Amino acid sequence: MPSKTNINRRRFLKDATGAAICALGFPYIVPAAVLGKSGNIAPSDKITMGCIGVGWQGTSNMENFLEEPDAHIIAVCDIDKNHLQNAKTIVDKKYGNQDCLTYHFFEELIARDDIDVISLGLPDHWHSIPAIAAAKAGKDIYGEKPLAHSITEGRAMCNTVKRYNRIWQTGSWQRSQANFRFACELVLNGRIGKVHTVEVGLPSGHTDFAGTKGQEAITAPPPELDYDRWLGPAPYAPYAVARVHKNWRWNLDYGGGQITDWVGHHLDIAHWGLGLEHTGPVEIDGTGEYPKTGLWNTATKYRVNTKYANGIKIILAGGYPDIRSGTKWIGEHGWVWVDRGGLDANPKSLLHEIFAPDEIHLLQSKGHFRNFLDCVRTRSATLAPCEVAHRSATPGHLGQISMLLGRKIRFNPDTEEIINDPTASRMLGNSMRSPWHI
Amino acid sequence: MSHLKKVFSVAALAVTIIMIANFSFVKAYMPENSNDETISQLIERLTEIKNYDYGSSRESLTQLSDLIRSSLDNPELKGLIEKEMLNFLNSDALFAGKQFVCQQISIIGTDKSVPTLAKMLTDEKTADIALYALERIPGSFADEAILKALAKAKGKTKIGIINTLGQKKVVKSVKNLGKLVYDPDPAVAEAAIAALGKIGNDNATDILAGAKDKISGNLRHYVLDAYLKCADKLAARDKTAQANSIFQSLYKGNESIPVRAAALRGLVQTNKQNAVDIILNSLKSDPPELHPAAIGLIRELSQNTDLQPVIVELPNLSIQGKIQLISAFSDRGELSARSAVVAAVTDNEQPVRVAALKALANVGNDSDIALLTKIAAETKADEQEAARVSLNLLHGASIDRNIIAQIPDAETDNKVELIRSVAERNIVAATNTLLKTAADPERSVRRESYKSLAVIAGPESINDIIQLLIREENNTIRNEAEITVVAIAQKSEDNQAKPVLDILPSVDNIEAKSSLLEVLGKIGDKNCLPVLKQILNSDNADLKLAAISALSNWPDAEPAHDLLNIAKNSVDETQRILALRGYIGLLKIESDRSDAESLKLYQEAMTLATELNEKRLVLSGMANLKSMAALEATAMYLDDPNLQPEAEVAAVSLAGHIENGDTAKIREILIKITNITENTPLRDRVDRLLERLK
Repeated sequence: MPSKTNINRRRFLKDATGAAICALGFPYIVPAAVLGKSGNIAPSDKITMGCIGVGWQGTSNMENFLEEPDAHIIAVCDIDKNHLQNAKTIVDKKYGNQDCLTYHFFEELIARDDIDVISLGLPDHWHSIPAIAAAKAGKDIYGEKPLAHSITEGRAMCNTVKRYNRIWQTGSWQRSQANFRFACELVLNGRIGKVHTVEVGLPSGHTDFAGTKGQEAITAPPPELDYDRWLGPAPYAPYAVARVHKNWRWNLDYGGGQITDWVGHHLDIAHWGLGLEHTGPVEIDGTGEYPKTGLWNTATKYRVNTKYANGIKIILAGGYPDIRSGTKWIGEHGWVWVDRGGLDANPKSLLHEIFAPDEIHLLQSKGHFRNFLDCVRTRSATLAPCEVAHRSATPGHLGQISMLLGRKIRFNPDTEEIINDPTASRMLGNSMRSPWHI
Repeated sequence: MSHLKKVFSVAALAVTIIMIANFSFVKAYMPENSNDETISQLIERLTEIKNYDYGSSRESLTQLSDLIRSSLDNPELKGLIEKEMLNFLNSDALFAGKQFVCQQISIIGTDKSVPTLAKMLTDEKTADIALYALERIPGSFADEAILKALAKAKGKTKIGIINTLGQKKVVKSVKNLGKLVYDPDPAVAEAAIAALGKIGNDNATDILAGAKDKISGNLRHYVLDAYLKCADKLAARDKTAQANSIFQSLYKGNESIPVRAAALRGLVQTNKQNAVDIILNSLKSDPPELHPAAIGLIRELSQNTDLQPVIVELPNLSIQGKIQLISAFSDRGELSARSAVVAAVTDNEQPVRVAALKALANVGNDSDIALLTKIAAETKADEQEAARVSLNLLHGASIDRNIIAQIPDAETDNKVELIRSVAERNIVAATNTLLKTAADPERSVRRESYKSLAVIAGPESINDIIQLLIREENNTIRNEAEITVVAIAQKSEDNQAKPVLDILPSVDNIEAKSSLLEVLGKIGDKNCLPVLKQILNSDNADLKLAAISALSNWPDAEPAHDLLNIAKNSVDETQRILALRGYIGLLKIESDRSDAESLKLYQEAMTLATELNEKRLVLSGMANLKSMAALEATAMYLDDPNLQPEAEVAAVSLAGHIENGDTAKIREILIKITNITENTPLRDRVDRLLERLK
């Protein structure tokens, strides 16, 4: 429940029905944002925000929004009391007051009619449910990559965001960096000729972000954590330290490992440079090395060869030294490579190219969070809208399916169906644990 | 083996035998072919997994999934595996193992799995894992089994079943779900409503249409969402009129803004021929909260849509409405909106003006060059930036030509803006024009001309620019000209310094000559070195200083010795200090020198340094070394109150780089730093280093 009542400023469940549902541990029913501004924000008004999921990445995103002068965070939500208190402390310190309200249930935060924008910083298995709820309530959304935990969930998110005319930005922030933009402009403007291959080098292994590797003993969850809600739609599993914060990504029930984490960056950039942001591969052939035991079961080394309808091959690899970290487009007249803090090309003269006004100029972002807030006001598409993020994540999900089945699969990017492989087709989505659904 | 271990081994064997005996196949089954071998392995794995629980080794699970993967192209084997896994589910195996097996069945399960899984739906403990498999098993047999289970299910199981029916789009379940829409348990009702929205056939649509009028409160939101989905599905099935009717009812009704916005979208999608009228009507009649949705739809209209009625409405909108509509025109590249956008450039509200200026990049033409130039010249901050960007991006074959044509007669500030855009647009054809403006009486014009020439001019223009540099009397502008000459020289494949070297002997003006020497240093062509070294012997102090400065910028350490000589021997204090600074700078450049050699050179530089600034420079250079000796040498300055802060930073950097050093000594130095430093971030870093050294 919120830590402070302010009836005039918010509208959420107050009826007996809602309370009964909550008592049973079922999800709240999200009421409509009848009086929300729905994007009708005057330039003189601040954009009011609520942050759902304020652990590691969620707090980082929240702090970035705190730096934007026209954004105002008025509520935070987390199922870990420590995260929640920490986030409130940061927000209140920034604004010099105690006004930031805290929520355990995201449904309550979304139900507030005075919140324009939601920032989501949740594990992958929790991406779709609150995103869809927020879109239905007329909120604009900043969410993390990969867009969703499965292709099915991603499609549902895109459809809902489109249906309700929402602005969406994905945390594929490399699009807001000058070197990535310039590299893409070089490729899009034909400076290396027709591209035939793209090498996308991603990390390998399991990065122990929380220092909890090996802490797999089954214990009672810590009192500050609502563990059942943390599991949410994922299959039941008892609490273990290594399962949750920061390292959940290494278990297939909650994330997809390095490949799905990073396709939202380097493959996203590959698509951007090729103008393939609204389609996907037609063939996917992956091999992966999965740990034979232990809680962390995502691939530690992988290589996925994909082919697109236009004949371009994109190789996604982690742990293969022949594929350099970052994105490298190889064309008939040279290549362009880009990574964080790095940009190179052959011929080198490409690095000094200036594009004529009639050539393709990608949006020069003043910051990824800034771009999102600007688009909330103008209603223009962001640098990383929902549909684009879905298409960036899709090859990662398909690669995962191919690796898990140990065979090549074919995909129709228009219908988003796997072709002639009923077994693989079953893996496009995951059944959600009751009572959760999208 | 101890007696106790023997007892346990025998017991374990007995348990294993009993467990194996629980499987029906053991009695009758004898391996005969490779499938048999796989099945034998499977049995072993399943036997192991029977006692599998969370937290124990997953190795057997992995082996089982490997076996299943190897069977995917072998229907017979797959069938046998399925059978054995079903036996497993019917055994008294632990929940964790059954959960894993259900996940495997979700991949290969067939109708044969359905009865067993359906039975599991009757127990709330196993319902979730059974649904996990059933949701993925295709076919009506599974669908009907799930539907049948719905009747007796309760609580979470009931909701899970409803969710699965929705996810599988089980048409046969619509009637049952329709009843549950009015279930007293709102969670059940909500799930049923959502499921009907996913199924979205005609019957589901009718049920939701009825529910829309009967259900109130929070559940109504779910009904409307599901109803919208149904309408979308109707439109996708070409039942446009029916879909349109639903959208119309939701849009016109007293629904929430998000629902009305979604309905408005559907209305436009299903009535494209009247899309503009619908949008216009919304802008005129609807509450402002619906305007963003209405305007957003403009982006989705086909390019040949006549938007004139909406364009005319622009001045009547709210500030945010104007911004959004102008942005939509921009996103579409809506040339027909140009006049309205130009008019908005003079709007009373600054955010509207900025939006209009930005939009001109995509909807403007030649006629807007002067306007954008003027605004870029006369405004500041957002408006200036927007005008500049649009001037740089204006499309059209004649834009560049027009910009060049307007430069000669433009007012000074406008001229500067036009020249700036020449570089941004890379208008190479403007080179001759800019060679003239580089001699303009106005300094701002000359400065901008040099900046732009650095971008657009090629090596063929370098002599002209050198001549301009020689004639330039203002030091600041001459510095800009130096940068331009260097930039253009570096565009040549080879002999980059030749034009400057050729002209240098004929230049008498000392300031111009000094400037050219600086240029030679920045070009860094090896042909320049003898000339610069020779000038170090010049009697002219200014030229000598210029040569020292040029050599200080050299890209490698080759002139270091020459600079050191001056630092050691010059009687001119300025030359000495400048040379020493240059020397220290060159020492920092990566080279083949050993750390020991570098340390010796830095120490020599320190002995030559008489001023604090130079000593600080030396410490900063030493920070890049990686030896204990360098650390100890740096630590000596921790006691010098004038150099302590720099010594602290250098020592910490060194301590972080040293591999296999004297840990005790490093710790001693770091502890000393923690005790004396006032630099908090540095102290934190020291703490981390000390932790690492434990």
